[in-house]
Amino acid sequence: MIDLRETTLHPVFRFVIAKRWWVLAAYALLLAASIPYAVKVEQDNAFDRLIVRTDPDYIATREFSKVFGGGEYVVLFAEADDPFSADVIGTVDALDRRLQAVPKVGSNSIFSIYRRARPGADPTTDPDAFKKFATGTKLFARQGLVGPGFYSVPLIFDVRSTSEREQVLRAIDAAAADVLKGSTALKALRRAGEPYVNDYMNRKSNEGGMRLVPVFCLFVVALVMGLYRSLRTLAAFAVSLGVNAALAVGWIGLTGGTFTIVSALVPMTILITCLATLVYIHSRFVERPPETGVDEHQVFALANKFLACTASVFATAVGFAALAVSDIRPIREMGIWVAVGLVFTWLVAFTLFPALQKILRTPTQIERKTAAQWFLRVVDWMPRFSYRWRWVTVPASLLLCGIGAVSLFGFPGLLAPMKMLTHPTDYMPVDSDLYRDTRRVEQLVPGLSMADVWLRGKVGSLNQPEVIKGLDAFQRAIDAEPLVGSAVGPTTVLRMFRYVGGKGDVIPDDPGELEALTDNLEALLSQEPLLARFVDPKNMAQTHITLVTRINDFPSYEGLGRKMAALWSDTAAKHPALAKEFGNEPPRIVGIGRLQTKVAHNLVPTLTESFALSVVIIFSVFLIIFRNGAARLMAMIPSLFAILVMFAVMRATGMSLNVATILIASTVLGTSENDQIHFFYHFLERQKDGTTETGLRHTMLIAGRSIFFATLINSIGFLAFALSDLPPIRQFAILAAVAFVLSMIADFTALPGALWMVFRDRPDALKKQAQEVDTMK
Amino acid sequence: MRQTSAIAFLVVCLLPAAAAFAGRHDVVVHVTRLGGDSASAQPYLDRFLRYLESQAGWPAGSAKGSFTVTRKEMTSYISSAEPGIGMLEPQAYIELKKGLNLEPIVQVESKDLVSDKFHLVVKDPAIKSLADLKGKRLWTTLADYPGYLSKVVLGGQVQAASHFELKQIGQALKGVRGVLRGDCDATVLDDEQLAKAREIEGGKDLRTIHSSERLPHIPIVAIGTDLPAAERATLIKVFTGLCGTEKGAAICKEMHIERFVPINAAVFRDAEKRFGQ
Repeated sequence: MIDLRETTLHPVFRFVIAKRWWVLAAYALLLAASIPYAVKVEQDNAFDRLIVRTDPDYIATREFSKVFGGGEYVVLFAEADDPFSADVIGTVDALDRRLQAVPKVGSNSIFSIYRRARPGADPTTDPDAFKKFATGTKLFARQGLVGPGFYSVPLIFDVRSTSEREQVLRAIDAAAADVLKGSTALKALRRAGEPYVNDYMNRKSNEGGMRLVPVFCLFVVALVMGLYRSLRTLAAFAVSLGVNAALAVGWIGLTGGTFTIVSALVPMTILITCLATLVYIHSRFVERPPETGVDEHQVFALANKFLACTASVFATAVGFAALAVSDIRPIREMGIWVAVGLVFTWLVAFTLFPALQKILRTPTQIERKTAAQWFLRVVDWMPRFSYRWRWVTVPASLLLCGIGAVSLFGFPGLLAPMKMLTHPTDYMPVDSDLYRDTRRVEQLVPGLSMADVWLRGKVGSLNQPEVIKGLDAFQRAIDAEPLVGSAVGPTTVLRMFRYVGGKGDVIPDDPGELEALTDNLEALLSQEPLLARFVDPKNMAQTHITLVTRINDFPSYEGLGRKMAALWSDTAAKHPALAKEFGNEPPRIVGIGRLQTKVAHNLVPTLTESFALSVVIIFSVFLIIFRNGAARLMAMIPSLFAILVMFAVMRATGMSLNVATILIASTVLGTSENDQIHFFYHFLERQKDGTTETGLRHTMLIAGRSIFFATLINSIGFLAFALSDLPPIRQFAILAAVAFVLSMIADFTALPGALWMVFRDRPDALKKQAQEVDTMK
Repeated sequence: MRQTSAIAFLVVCLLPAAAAFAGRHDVVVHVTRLGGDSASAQPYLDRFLRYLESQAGWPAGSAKGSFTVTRKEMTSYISSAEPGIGMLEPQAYIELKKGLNLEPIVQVESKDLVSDKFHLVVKDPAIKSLADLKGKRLWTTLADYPGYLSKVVLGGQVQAASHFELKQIGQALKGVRGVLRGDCDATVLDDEQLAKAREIEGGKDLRTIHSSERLPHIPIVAIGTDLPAAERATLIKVFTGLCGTEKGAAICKEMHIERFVPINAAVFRDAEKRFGQ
């Protein structure tokens, strides 16, 4: 029986349907305006997109790049049994010269240094002289330029866009392939560096996106045809979804947004939510009683689903908007973009979709029988089942929640909190060449994490001979630190030049020689690109010492910062010129390496903060809609159950938290609470004048099937991401799908079980039996 | 036997001439703005000399050379190695012309190495003239050549050695930073250096209190009096064509030289006149 009483919403929807062609025209205009912006949105997985622009460390790193140049940096590693054999020297020298010829690329290999130091000298014609040069000092080995069984060829290049980076990397690869064609001199040529990782991620994200679209389209066709068995309905769904996606991505383009590894999830998240909302609305629409006209029933269905759909879309939107508190930029952007996209979902669902239903004359169950008639048997079975097993399902779900919480946060003394991964290689498949190369390179050199100790002094500080002496002492002190793999600074370069000049590889003590060295530093700046990357040439006020480390966590970087402060204090005490020129404050550590660990470190607080905010907001929505204390609490059970059990699944299967899986909690909460809103809306609709059993039956009859199909939509929709080549996205897909199914299981078991307990009620048949027993007494 | 004796006689007679010839082809380079030191500059100089030999038709490896940073290093090299050719800063040429019998052959054209004019630059607003700098600290690449500084650059208005507290620096911008930091009171810059100085933090406050007349460029000089006119003509031809080929241009570029051109006699004459020669 349907309550057809007129509400204030009825005239609104009558108006929308009456003006359906105007609605369609308005959306056509919006679509035309959106598409140019939508196609502008690019993919860029560069690491600096992971952190918000207001982060002080990010700002410092950017300022640092402005002073010392922000070129991108890759390293090629040439492995060979005997690096000093003529064949190997010839091959790597040819490679180096060929790479130097690639536009925008500069090499700083030992071969380049040799040629600069010995103009006209050819390492291939006199390999012994080259070997003597390369092994006559530890400076080159400390920098990882040459080592047992390998040479490294560090390449620096300036690019301004993703496509430019792609072009340069392809040119490097082509040059390397050309030189190595037919050569057996090298055992392997390996590539490493963030630009390669970014390029890999961009390509894979794009390829993944290209695969997702047809999969999602097929899914929509299968679902709509399977559920409603109507091409007209399919057309209404397809147009609504397309418009929703175009408006959302167009808005991202309008605001200058760029997709990163996780924000590529945005369109799909919006589409899945939109599809679920349309299924809720249309499922109500198709349940037309024979005695009611189609137009009248359409207005009723829209009005009936308006509050629940609005509440659920609003709660989801606000739940995602809560991610805006994150310091991790893609997560913040994803939150905001999904929230805005869901506003479009809501508009499309209640304006364009009804207009299309009317224009396309989508059939109801009178004209075409809908699928899943078997669900009526579930409706009969569920209330009794949930009552009978309530003391099993509710405690079991709470226990599983506890296990999930321990899996995430750990248990003091027993289990460590779940591990965070943000290193770029963590995003790559372990069987990819780039992953293998990176891991191998990490074994060859003292780390791939780079950070810089930034020293900011006064104009001409680096012209002071005593400063150069002090800086050298500071750098050597850093170099000796166990946490540091190697430290390279301006005095390394000066020492290298002294070595090349046959004066040994140390900074001199003699004041006259030191004075000459500072003069030389100034002159060399315009000639030596390597040195220019260490000193600001105008003011000679700033310099830095680059650290190569194996540090991969933020607390270790904090520890290194403290150690650095102590070293600075000690060195400045011995070399007062340092404190005079650079101040007593210890120098700041900046750079991508530190930022990466900071992002990792902030992941859990971000997760907790945004999740807590989502919970509060959704709880408030429930409070406003239902005004029922018990309902408020119970409504959260399935989502919390799904989220926490999912963390237990992660722990059990060895998955880790990363920039994608960190979003699981908010995504699952934001998406699955829709079901609970619909569940409670219809439960209270009937329970307030009836019993718990009648409320549950009504809920299952009206919302149960939609919950089942919404779960199917969410699970399969997100599961489409499992086709991605990127492990974090694959893991996200699988976990999200598992979580949605878990949430649905809780919707149909633990949640009604808990409701029986809270309302201290029993099934009507049992109550009747008890009454009969009482009467008989 | 008679033939052998004749060859032996010729060898004995010609040996000193050959030695003198070889000596004249050795080169000393004293250009402060090139930067670096003797050792690091040597490979570049060697390449330059090999190319010079090939263009001049000298025997390969017959020319040796040295890059010297200071006046002391330069004079010491000249007295010990007795090179025949020099590429010298104009201040060195002017001050040492008489003593070493220097004769300019061609001059260097280079944005990086030569200065048309020098300016005496200060920051302190209280310093308005050369007189205000009496007893003050002047850091300059010309401090080793106080005569040139006094007479040619400062027009004979002061005796630099006594008027200033002079300090020799290797690079002009070091003097700029010295002025900006307050480590010294004045420095000497050419137009290009002054433009760069203004880009340094606080550089906008720099003022010029004196500008020189037009100055000679870096000359290539013959050292000594034994350069025959024909050899001189050959050297002019060789040097002026040196940077004209693709290979030569690359080698000249390494030395920051754009080309060699005939001496601007008028400018050299004016400078020498101001110096009192």
